[in-house]
Amino acid sequence: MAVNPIYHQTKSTLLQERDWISEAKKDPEKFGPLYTKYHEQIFRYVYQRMDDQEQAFDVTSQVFIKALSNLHKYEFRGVPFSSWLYRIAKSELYQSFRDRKARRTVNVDTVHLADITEEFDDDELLADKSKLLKCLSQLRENDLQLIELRYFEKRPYKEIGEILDVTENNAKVKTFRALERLKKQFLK
Amino acid sequence: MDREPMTSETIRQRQNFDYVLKQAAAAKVPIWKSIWFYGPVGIAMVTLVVSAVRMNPKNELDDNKTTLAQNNVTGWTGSTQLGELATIESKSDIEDIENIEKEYTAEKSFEGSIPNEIQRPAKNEKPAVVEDNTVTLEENTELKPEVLTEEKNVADENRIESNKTVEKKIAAPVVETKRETVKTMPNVAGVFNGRVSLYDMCSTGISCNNGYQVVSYDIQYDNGRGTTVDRVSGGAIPEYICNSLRRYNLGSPVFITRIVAMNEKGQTKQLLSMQIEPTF
Repeated sequence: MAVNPIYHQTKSTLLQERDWISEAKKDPEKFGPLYTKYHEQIFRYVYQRMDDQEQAFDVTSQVFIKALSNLHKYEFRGVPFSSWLYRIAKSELYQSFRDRKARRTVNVDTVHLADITEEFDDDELLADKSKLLKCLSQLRENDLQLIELRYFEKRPYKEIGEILDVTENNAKVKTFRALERLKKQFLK
Repeated sequence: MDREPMTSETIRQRQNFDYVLKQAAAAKVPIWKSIWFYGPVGIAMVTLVVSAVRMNPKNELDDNKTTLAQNNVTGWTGSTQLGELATIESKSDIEDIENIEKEYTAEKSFEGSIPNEIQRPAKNEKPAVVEDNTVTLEENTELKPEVLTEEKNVADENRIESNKTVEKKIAAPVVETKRETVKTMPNVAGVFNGRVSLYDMCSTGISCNNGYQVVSYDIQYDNGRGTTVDRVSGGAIPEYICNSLRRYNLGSPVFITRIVAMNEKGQTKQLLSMQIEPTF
């Protein structure tokens, strides 16, 4: 299973990030390195959940504007800065959906669908992609998000936990339960 | 399904940190627009206004302060200080003993402010030409109520001529000009509060305006054995007191208190106390 390479950071890079943050709190222009580092990540997260590319860029910009405006509230807790950005991005996305500016979408690669069906332990099901997509659309938002983060975006449970503000184990359990519900739906 | 992936290069080209900086700066709410500003500042403003309204003594003073013009009673002051005194007196009648006490207190506050320039007039000096800024008084006749206009900021000399026309010039230059009307006031040779020649004092005694005659008074003076207070009937100053004044009180203040006056109808009233300084 592929892993997001940016997420895995050494202690020294985390400390460097902390320094950037403390400098950016004093001078907003020092926020530049963080912006450069996480822009693509956040954009991909946003664009994964909406169709319109321009809207995705707008939402991404909005995420960084919010982050910069509220940087004084941020407290370093030894996790990557991106986890905070993801939470802001999630909030901005839902705001965007509420304002009906964008439509919630799930972008799926065929290859990734295969990863899910592998979990079902039933090779015969592999062929029925359309049914799987239908089941995905019927999932609750929380379950869909977990499936999306784990199987379509290939994120580690630790990162999922930080994005969703839960522990790594809790993220694992929740993802497993979401997958079980998808399977149940699929096998109906 | 299987959307065409975007390259990292494409995404990087769309980075615009300057836009983010500008928008973040614009999104910041100024402190004076924040709710945290309005709370404390609002409370502080209300507190200030309330305390200013409650503590401002001006309103209270305005209520109590009544100028003599408002009383619409006329008289002659005999000194510039009296005019000032009159402005801080209560609006109620001077007849009230309580008010007399109040006025006495006010009077004391002016004791030290008598201009030194006020000098004893030369007895043989003929009355000078009456100028606009002088006050003329016929002292032989009973003091008639009249509206007194004091033009301050003028004369450098105060002249009083007993048995003749009395001229008074105000010595101390004062900036303000006041128009005041005075109630029944006692005076010694036209002076309520200040220096009077012993001759004038003993020859004229204590008189008052507004149709009243002095019937009794207390006089506190030094008789050579110490300060004494004598009760005197009538407005004249007895000869033995005049002798004591001449011997022991020249240049020293003499207090004339509890002055009771009566008008033609037999109505009595207690007048303001005086402080006189007999001079040779």
